[in-house]
Order: sequence, then C-alpha cells, then structure tokens
Amino acid sequence: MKHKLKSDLLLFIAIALVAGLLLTLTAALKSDGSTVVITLNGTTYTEADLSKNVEISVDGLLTVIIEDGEVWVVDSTCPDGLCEKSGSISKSGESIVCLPCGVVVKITADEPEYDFIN
Amino acid sequence: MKRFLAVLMACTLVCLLLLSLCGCGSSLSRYEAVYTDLFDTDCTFTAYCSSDEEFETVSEAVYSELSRLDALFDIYDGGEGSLKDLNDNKILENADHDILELLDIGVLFYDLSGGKLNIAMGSVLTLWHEARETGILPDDEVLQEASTHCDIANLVIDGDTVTITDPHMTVDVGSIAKGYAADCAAEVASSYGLTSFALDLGGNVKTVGEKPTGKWVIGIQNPDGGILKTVEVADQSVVTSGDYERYTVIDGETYSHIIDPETLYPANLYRSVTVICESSSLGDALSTSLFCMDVESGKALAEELGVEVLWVYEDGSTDET
Repeated sequence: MKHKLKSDLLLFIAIALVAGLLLTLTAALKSDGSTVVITLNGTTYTEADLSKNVEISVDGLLTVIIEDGEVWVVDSTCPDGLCEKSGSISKSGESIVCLPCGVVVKITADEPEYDFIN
Repeated sequence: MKRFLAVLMACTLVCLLLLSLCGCGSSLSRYEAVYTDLFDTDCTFTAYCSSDEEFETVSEAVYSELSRLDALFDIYDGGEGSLKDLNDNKILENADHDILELLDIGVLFYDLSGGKLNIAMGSVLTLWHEARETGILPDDEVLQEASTHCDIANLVIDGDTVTITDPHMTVDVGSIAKGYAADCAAEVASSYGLTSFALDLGGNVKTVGEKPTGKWVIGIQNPDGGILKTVEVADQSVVTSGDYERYTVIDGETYSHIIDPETLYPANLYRSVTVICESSSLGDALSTSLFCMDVESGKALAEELGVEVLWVYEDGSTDET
C-alpha cells in the first residue's frame, strides 16, 4: 500500500511537471510567434518568421530585410521611396506600405500587441 | 482514498494541459484582408469569423462597397455621376444618396470649424496635388488666384441636384471621404451578422464590438518612431490626421497634405491630431479641421461635440481633452 502511494505521488509529480512545462512552452510560443506577412496587390505574396534573418525580393519591386526581429525595406523601385524612409518595424500590428508597388509588409501574431497603428 | 485523490488530481491536470494546448474558448478566428487600390491608401478589414467562407463572403461585400464609394468620390478618374462629373460639368442631377450625404457633412463642418475644413477648395488642393507629383512648389500668385474660387456658398444642393455656380470652383472631399466610407462599409459587414470587426482606412480606424479577448488596441505613433500612446476602444472610431501620412519633400523641406484654407500652405501646428468618437465620418472631418485650428478653439469644438482628442506637437509633447 505504501509502495503504491509513492508511485502515485511520483506519477502526479511527473504529470504536473509535464503540464507546467507545456504551459510555459505554449505561452512562450504564443508571444514569440510573430510572422511577417508580405502582400502584393491584396494577395499574400509570402510569409516569414520574424525571428529568422532573411532577405526577400518581392517580385523585383522591392526587397524586405528581416534581421534580429526588425523589418525594413530597401531597393524599392517606387518613385517616392517613402517605404524605405519609413524605417524599421518590430512590433506585431506595425506595417510598412508601398502604394506605388502595391506591397504591404505587416507583422502579425495570433493576438497582436497592436490591432492598428495610427 | 488517497489513490483516488491522486488519480483525480492527475485527471484535472490532464484537462488543464489539453485546455492550454487548444487555446480554450471561442471558435472564432481572426481574419484580415488588405486592399491597396482604394482611396489612395492601404485599407484593412479585420474580423473574427467562424469560417474561411464567412470571412471571404463579407470581405468581398466590404471591398465592393468601398470600391463603389471610392469611384463616386474620385475627382481624378471618377465616371458618370461621380464628383469628377460634378467638377467637370458643374452640375449633378439625380446625385447618389452617398454624394449628397458626404457633401452635407462637408458643409456642416465648414460651419463648425469656422472655415478650417473646406471641401470647396479643390482649386487650391489640385495645385498642391500637382506639387506632390512634380516636386515643384506651386506659385504663390497662382495659389492666391485659386483661393478666390473656394466659396462654399457656391456649392448649391437642392433636393438631389448639386450645382457649382462658380465656373472655376471644384470640390475635393479627400479630407472626409475615408471616414464616411468606413461607416458605410461597417454597415455592410454588420448586415452579414458580424459583431466583432474593424476597418482601417489609412489612419482612419472604425471598430465594431470587442475582440473575443477584449477591446481593440490602437497605437498612436510617435512621429519620431515608436508608439506614443495606446488607446483601447470598442464600438468607437480612432481617426488620426498626421503630417507623416502623406507628404512630399521639396528642396529639403517637408510639405504635408493638409492645407490650411487661410494660409493656403500646409498646416504645421501639430505633427498629428487624433479624434476618438463613435462615428468615423465625424472623426475624419473633425481631425482634419482640428489639424488647422489652434488648440484652444479645438478644445472648445471637441467639448461641444463631446469627443476625445489627442494633439501631438513637433517636439513629441501632447495635449488632450
């Protein structure tokens, strides 16, 4: 009987540990699950992980750089270059828009920190 | 007994674990559609829907409503029955209900703002529009000449007939059209039964209902980068007029798109003015008006209309109601 109680306790602790671990893991994944969504003329061109460093050429129109959680635009073919001047974004809800190219670069998350930025 | 208790606790933990994995609760998912070819800005429709099909259907209806209004209010490429038609021919018979409503809002805000919002100053705004395209400043004499054709009394609305009695006068509703369109599009989305959605028409946010997780969170930009203030709203519009939205740089000087009807030059009292109120039409018209008004008169007008306002100055300091 004593032996059984001990194994029950061990099982309980094991489950508690696993549950705790999974809870923190999913919480961590949720807050860090930001995605960079690039749309071209209203349809999704590509999506990328905010935490991975990468350079994306959008149909030869402009290049999106993702580096250390920051996103910005270079080499735009638009006449005004406003998209390059708008600098870098890093928070979910923020976006860079290039109207002449029809490109929107936006950081999204399951529950973004900001729904909109004015 | 103790064994039973341990098993019970284990079961509870497993349930908790499963709940944490499935994200617990509502079956509504967040959807978003971005339209880049309307109102010369980027428009976003965000909604919580129960299926992809539901969102697609509503998003298409919202897009077609926005696109219909954009065509009506377009003074550059609009077709028959549009404001371009009115500007070209100085008369519009059997005018669309939405054109009549929008012009009424324009006339109302001309009075409320003491002339600081004037939809009849198309002649002046066209010169600045050209300047943004060509990078060459408008000639001061030409501006002054154009300003003699901005008397809103020459815009005559009689039933569903609109007439412009000054042959050199044109209307430009750029300062109020997006807010009005957001209200109309929201009505369309509501008619499909959606209760939790928002429209963002280039700094013109209209929210309907709450998100499943609570209020909508809107960040007001610090013009020098980052977020200056966060506002949380439900069933409210948050409309910002800012000099960073649309501008042009000529000879190293920045010229924003909001022109003060008195000076005929870009208003530079503030970096941005944000209005929080229920109607997006009101918010849009008021934020543009306040952008050209001194803060005291602005506060008086905001109080009269019962809305919240945030003014952001050049140095990043703020003022609010």
